[in-house]
Amino acid sequence: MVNDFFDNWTVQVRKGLLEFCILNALADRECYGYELVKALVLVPGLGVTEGTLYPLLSRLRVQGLISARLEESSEGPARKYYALTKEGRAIMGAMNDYLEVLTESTRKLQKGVLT
Amino acid sequence: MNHWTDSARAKLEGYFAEMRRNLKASGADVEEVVDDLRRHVEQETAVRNLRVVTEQDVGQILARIGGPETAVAVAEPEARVQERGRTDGEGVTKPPGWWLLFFGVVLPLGAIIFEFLTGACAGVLFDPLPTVGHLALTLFVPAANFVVWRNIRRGQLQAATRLGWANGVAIGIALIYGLLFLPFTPFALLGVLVYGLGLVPLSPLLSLVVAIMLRDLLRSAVRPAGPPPGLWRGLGVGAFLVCLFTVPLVLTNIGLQMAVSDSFAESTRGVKLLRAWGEDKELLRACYGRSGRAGEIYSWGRPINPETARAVYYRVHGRAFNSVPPPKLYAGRARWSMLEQEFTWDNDQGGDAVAGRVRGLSLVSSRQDGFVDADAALAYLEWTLEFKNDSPLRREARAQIALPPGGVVSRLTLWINGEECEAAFGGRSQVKTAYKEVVHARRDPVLVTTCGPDLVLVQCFPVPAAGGKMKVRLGITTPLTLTSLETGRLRWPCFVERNFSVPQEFRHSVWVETRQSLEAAAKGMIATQTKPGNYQVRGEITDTDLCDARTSLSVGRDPRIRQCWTRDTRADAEPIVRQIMEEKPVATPKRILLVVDGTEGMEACYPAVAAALKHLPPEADFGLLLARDGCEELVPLQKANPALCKTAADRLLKSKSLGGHDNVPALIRAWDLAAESNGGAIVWIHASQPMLLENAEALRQRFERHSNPPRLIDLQTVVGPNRVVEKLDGIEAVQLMPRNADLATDLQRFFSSWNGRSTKITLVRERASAGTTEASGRETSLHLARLWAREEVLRLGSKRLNSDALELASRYQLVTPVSGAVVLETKAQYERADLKPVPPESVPAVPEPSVAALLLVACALLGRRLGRRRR
Repeated sequence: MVNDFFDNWTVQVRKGLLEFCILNALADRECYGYELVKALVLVPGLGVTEGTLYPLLSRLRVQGLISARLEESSEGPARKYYALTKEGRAIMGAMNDYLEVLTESTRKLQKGVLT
Repeated sequence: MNHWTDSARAKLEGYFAEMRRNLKASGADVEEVVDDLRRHVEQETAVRNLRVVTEQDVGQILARIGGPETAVAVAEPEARVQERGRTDGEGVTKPPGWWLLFFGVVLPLGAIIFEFLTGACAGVLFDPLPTVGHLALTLFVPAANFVVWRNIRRGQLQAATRLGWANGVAIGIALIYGLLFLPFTPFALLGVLVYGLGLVPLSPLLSLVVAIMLRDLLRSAVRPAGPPPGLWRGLGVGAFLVCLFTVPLVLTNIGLQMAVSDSFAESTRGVKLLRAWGEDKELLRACYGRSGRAGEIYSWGRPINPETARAVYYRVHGRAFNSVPPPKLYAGRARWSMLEQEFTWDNDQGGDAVAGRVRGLSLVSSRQDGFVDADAALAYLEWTLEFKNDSPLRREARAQIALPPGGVVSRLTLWINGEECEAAFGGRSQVKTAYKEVVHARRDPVLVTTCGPDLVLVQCFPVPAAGGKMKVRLGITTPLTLTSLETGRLRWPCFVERNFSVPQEFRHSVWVETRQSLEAAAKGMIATQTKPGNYQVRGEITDTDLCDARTSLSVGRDPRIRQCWTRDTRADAEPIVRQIMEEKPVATPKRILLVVDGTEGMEACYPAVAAALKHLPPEADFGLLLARDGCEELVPLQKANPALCKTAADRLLKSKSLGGHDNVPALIRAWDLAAESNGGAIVWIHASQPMLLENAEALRQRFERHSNPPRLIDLQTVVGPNRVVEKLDGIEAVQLMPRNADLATDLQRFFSSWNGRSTKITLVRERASAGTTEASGRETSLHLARLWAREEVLRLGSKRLNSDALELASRYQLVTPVSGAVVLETKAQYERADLKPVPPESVPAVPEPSVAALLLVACALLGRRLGRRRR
């Protein structure tokens, strides 16, 4: 019962953080899909699979938060490079601010400090 | 590249199918996700270095990726997606339908194959596939459409860049063809609506529409990466390639229009353009009276006269238009090629020129039988020719034949229904009129007339259609060319120009007998002695070898025999004709003008000419003119010396020959220079002169009006027509240089003969009364009388005693400048033309019957007739 509760809770947290992680992964430079997915899969606790990430990337692109471009590669199949759009960067900033405030408040709460 | 097993591929596709179902309401672009995952899987296989990807490998990779259901975990409710709306206006890519495959691939491909096999469009509209390049480009359109269609359908968009470019190029090509066919589109649409036919002319436009639609689908399919590249640039490349392959056609028509300009400069520019960029077949088509259908589009409705086009063709290539096989006038193939055969008329039928090659007409057999009497320095050859016509129309076979020097046609036979019919000899215009009337009535005549020094024109009509044959025989009486008192040479009569084809593997069969020893230089011929005092040469000889001076027959003779005679049965008084061989000194000209042709191909002859210059007489004045774009004075007239000859040789060797050039201006200039002093000579070394670009009347006038004109020594390096010499027919001052060996040897021998010490052997033929000559010479055949008669006819003709000349030519049954020979089919035709065929017993034969034999035949015929009367 306790385990089920925890599992459900982590799924909800992870689900909420996936888009946040993707946007932050693209904050500094554009990445191609395979590289990005491999990096995110390795994030501890995120517990995400490639099969999950590609639909998310597509949805973010459809929402206009990231852009994509194809480039032929001599090392294998063509690579799709993702980058933040202006809108995506703004959202990412807002998300970061929001999460920072939320984390700070949560910590304060953990320390018993009530506002 | 790795190889995927079928089961591996199936497993992956199964995974994607499941993925598609699960992601329908996810808010993600399903096909994009599938593409991304496909790319991811391929990257995995590459990272794992799998050469063969099995189902197990795919299973492992997909296990890592996670099942299709995991994606649902992050799926956004469809309601929310709808609520937000598709602000970017893009939808999920639908797979291209089968109808796109039909209209974009199957239909254009079928249309191209149909057109290639039948040439239907080429036959009635214009040729959409005039070159292999056009064919390749048109095939590219359905090929590109198919690849793009398949890859979008399979979702294999890794090479999106290449697909984008291929699609762009296909759009460019289809656009050009769509525009070309645009005028016919309304009719095609009407055809489709009313009759259900007409999709073929619509195929360029339909494939263009499909290519554009595929572009849109491709753009949607690779949307995340932005629009695929290569639309405008690919379109440009496609259109450019079509134009590039069409450029020669366009330039040919521009060049032709320029070349026929009245302005010399413009005309020269046009010829240069054609030399550099002209489409040979297109130019050749213009020579036959029409351009190819493809070319008609680019001629802007300004047709070129065929005669003018032929002159342009010669100026461009330096050869006659009819020296190469005729082009296809229509581009129809297979059954549509009937258009070619049915509607390709021979416009020169019954005319006075050999003119263009006639498709389907060929020489199927040729034999030359003859005997040589070397002691009397004469020969008689019979050339039997058989023509075949594979075309569906009856055709006229025409050929210009070069006779051996000094030769004359003394017999003409036509086979009608398997029977030999001899010719009637009459006035030139009389026999021509009779021939033309019968040609008009489409009956069986054959006509032989002269068309220049030692040249005759043979015309036979009709060679029956659909494989029909026509057989004729020419008897030729000719003197031998004596190179010394010990040797005589006989050149073979040969074709100078013809309107029928002679297959490459064709051989002329020759058989010549003589009582003197002989040598045959031609490959494929053998000389044997059959019994003491009887020799023969026989064999098979190619058409090229037949025309080569080096293959002429060399016959030994008794040098002690310097006089021979014959009893002329056709003469009333002075029944003896005798021939005396006289050695006369060769007159050295005081002024020598060398005119060298600048026509293409002559460059190969320049070394031989240059080498021979040192043999020129040192006392003479010498000038060297090059007949190229008018007249170039390579060496101005001055006293000849070794240094000058070397300078002339150097300048000649540095000269380039290109295209065909009118030699008349250079000859006129040479004549004017040579005529400044008595005893001048012009040596004209040239290639074939198939076109008279400028009127030669000014040159003829000079020869006719001058009391002692300079000699013109004509040396043609290759076999072919010479329109200039044809125009100078009958001028005594025009002489052909004797040819027995290669050019260098003949030229050196000829120039060396001007050393002041050389002699030449001259054959003097004259009449004499009976009893005065017999004892002092050897008796020979009646051919001696024919050769005398020929000379006499020429002499009378030069004195304008044409009726006397005609009477003499008709009596001796000779084809001369005043007379011709014609075989007609019926007695009524002869009566209508006021002609009478010669009696069979009066014609020469091989071997020539002696006078005694002829008397015996005559007695036998007389006896038979008397016997019939008594009965």
